[in-house]
Amino acid sequence: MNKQQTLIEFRDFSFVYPTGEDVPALQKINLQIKAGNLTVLCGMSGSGKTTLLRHLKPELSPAGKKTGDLIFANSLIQKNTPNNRQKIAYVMQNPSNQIIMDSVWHELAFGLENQGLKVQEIERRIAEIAIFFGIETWIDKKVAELSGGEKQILNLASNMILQPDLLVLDEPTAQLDPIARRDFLQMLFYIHSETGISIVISEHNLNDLLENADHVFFLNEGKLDFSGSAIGLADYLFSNDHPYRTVLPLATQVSYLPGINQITKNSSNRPLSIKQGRDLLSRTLPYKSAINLVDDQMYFSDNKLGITDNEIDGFSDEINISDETLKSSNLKSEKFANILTVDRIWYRYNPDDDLVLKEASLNLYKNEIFVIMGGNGSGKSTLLYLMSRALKPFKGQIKSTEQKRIAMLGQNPEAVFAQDTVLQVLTEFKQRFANTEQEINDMIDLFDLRDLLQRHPYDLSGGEKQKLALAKVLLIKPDILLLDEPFKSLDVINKQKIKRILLDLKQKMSIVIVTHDVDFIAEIADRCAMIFNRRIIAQSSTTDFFQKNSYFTTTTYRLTRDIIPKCIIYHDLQQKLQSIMNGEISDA
Amino acid sequence: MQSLKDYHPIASLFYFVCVLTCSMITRNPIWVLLCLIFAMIYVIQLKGLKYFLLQVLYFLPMLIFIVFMNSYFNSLGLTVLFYLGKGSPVTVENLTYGIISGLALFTILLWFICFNLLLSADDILAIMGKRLPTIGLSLAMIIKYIPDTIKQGREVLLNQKAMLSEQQLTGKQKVKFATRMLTVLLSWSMENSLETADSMLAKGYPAKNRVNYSREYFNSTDAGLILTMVILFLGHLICAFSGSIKFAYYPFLNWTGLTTNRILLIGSLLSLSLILVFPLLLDIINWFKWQRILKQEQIMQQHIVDGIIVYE
Amino acid sequence: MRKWSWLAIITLISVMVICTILRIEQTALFTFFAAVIAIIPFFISYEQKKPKPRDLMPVVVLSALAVAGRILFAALPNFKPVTAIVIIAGMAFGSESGFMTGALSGLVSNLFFGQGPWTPWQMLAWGLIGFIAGILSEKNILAKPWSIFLYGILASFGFGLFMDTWNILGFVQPLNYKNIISAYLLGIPFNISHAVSTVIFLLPVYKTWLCQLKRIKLKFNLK
Repeated sequence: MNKQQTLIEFRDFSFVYPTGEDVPALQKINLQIKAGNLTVLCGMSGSGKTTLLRHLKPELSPAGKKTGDLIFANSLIQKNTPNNRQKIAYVMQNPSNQIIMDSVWHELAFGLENQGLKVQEIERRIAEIAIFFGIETWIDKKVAELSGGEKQILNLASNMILQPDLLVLDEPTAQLDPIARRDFLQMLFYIHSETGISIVISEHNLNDLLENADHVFFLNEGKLDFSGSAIGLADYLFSNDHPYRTVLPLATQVSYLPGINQITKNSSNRPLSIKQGRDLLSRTLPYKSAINLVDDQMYFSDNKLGITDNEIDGFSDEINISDETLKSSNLKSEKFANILTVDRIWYRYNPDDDLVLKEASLNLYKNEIFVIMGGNGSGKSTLLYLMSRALKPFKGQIKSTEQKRIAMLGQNPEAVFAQDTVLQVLTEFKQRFANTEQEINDMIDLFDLRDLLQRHPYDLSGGEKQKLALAKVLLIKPDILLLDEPFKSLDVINKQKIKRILLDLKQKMSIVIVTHDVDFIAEIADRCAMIFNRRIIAQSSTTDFFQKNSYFTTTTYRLTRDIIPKCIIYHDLQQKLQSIMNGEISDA
Repeated sequence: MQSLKDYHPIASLFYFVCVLTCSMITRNPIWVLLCLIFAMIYVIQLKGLKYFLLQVLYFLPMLIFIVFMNSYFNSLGLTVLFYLGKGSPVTVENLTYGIISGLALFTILLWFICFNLLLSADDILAIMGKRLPTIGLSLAMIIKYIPDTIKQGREVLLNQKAMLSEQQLTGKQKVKFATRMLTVLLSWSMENSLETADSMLAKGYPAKNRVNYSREYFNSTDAGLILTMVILFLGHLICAFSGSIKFAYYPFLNWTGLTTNRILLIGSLLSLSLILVFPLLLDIINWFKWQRILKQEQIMQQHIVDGIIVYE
Repeated sequence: MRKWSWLAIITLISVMVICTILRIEQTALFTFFAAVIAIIPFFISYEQKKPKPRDLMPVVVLSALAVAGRILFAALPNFKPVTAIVIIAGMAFGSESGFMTGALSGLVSNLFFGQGPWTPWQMLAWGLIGFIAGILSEKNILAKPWSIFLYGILASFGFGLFMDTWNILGFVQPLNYKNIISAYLLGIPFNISHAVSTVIFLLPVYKTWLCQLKRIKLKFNLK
């Protein structure tokens, strides 16, 4: 296939949803999808990514008013020929929901059955795809036995088995944990390099993705704001000071920092991966020892928690737990009131099951954000359920000092929506927790739900659902707030917003968060811990926690380790670089 | 040779239809007992004696019910045994009929136990999918959704509890709580199914020439099994219904069929036994085959130990 | 196609009656296969409709919910949310979907609990409960809450009677009004507990569920 052949072309394409109040979801889109490319489509949530992607798959394109042209290459669409109908494959976000059949082999066969292929042909294709994907070992399994990551790989396989010319993926890794995400993306890149298939993928996490992208489109409020290379996108975002720039891989962002930018400015190879970033940093900052010296005196005095100054504004300093205090007091400082103690609890779901937690202990202090990390199925969620008293440990105790109100929000916000409108969801416990109109209104404004009040909660986007659920839980006015993966479906802007809200809330309550989002959590957590081997280990202050780890740590730390010491979050790095640059400049 | 489990599901299903029909076709005690004995042996072979005895225990109330229904409410039969309360006389004849009927029902239940062990959900899907593709597909989807739904149900329950940190609920609260949970579960599952429907569309689902793929091949051995069963079964029907099967319970127990042609009588009993013994026979043959192979391997190993390898 | 479905039911009933009157020895056999055959016209008419993915989903999801409910509540004997869910399915999505939900719930739940001679009877009984619920709600008979509860109670009893019938017809001979009545009387405690569980299930959820399903119908763009 000709490398530059155009598969799909949008010409002045606009689209309005029937209920969209004449606000176009897509506006005058002009773009071309080239054969053989790995095309990345990025943009904030609500920018029209899904709408655009769905137009790439005629069977799924939404109903509404379309203007302009949408031209498919002949090879892609030949109407009414069954074998060509599936030249475009489409993988969606939720791993379980898009699986149709009950067992793996049956799921793989589903699309082929629709094509009316012969039994021998179906068998051959299944065998072939199973070997290519390395899934022979679980081909006999029931779908319910697979993990989320495996399910998504299966979805990829059951689409690839149709031998499509174009593979469209709509945020395929949004629901996966980092390890499963890595496996999925590696599989995707492998497929791309082995088969040369054209891929269009939308993602809200651009790490590991941009470095493999052939072409990048950036959508903003239904308009195509940028089309070009990954580095081109970075240049575009930084020159326009667009908030979306914080989604770029960290190494890329670093190359725009003052001092480094001068060096990379005119070369077209800005770093996209950690390795490239480290190369750049060590090239730019060759005086390691000098920096080390500079570092120790100047840095640790001000910011220990990784909270930027302007964000700290307004809450008391006593919350700032410094490394040293914590170390010396061995996590049991009397300065910090113990609000909840998990005392050597044991838990298993059924008498015959293995233990999920064994002798797990932790102390939760007043007004802190405590973060628990750990692998999939390590018992993080179980621990939260136990702390919320929804589950009871069969050995050990969970004690709180006084009668504390605990509220928890699980991974799926859908699980707490029982009403028909957003407003009803928010007012469900109005009497029970004596919420005043004022409180409810404040909450609505805090989470930008004003325009959504009459909508059905299930019709909201992932991020909106998350915000609504958070608002609902906060109206319970808890003393201890337990959150399970609260950032999963949030985009940058919303994440920043939630970050500020959580830091504010810390004045009033203690917050326990279970998450995989290491980079984000490093910015707000006071203390961190991991669950491993059924126990809670490595309880320590955030800086300590991430500095001691070299693999399970923040991207910033991985990027700067041994080059610029003690940078846990991006803000650390910014500040340090600033002072290094200043120092160097003054030296010179 | 393969055991019954290894045949194509259609062949296995056909076998079960045959034995079920045989078990229900008559209340001749010999027939019923013959079927019962083989069903018993088969269940014990598959699940063990303990399981079987447990099944007997479970069935006992049903047996008593059927015997009672058959003997309490009618006065048929000549040999009066005793009177039960104000009811009609209990006679040898109606008691026998009741017990035999009960055992016939038990036989059917035992065959279904075997059926459940030999035909998996996948097999049933394969059978349904061939003739009724939409329903076969729906079944597969339901089976896929059930564990998801159970998981979501548990999640909703836990989340609702955890959100309010509920500990003790009053009765009224419990009902309210359960309602909320079920409503959430319903809307959530429905909402999720929208994505499944899209995924089906994306994979070209409503397709004119959709085929049904099953991993099982129907081959000549399966055809052979069905053919054998058809011949045996028809032979059995002809022999049995030409008279030998006839058995009268009332006015007194009388196997009228005994007086018919001897050959037909023997033929009908033989064909029934052959049908019934079939799976057992397969397993016995398999066992001997295995023994032979193991023996050969032992000899081979001995040769290797001795340093001589003999190719035959 | 509805005609064929009714014909199947009438045939089944006449087989049952004729076998009983003539005291046929093979009543158990004939009625069993008649029940299996009676399901087929319903299935075939569903096949012929060639439902689109979105038309399939309500039946699939509600059946899965019914079976999941039966599994979740397996510890409580005779607590079957299935009847209630099937009634709601019939009311919300029409008689055909009601039948399919009932019949498939019966078939699939027996895949988990074990098939038996009761399978076709269960499929038919639940199927008909959904089917009739659909017809009644078409005619606006189930508009009032009390009528839904009444139907729930009747359906539960009907289910029990239907399930007992095969045991009585097939294995008790000769039949007279005395043993028929006493057999059904023996089943009453079970039927009462079934009816109670159905109503307990229907009582709090029917309103919200019907509301939710209405919304889903709009969202799915179903007729």
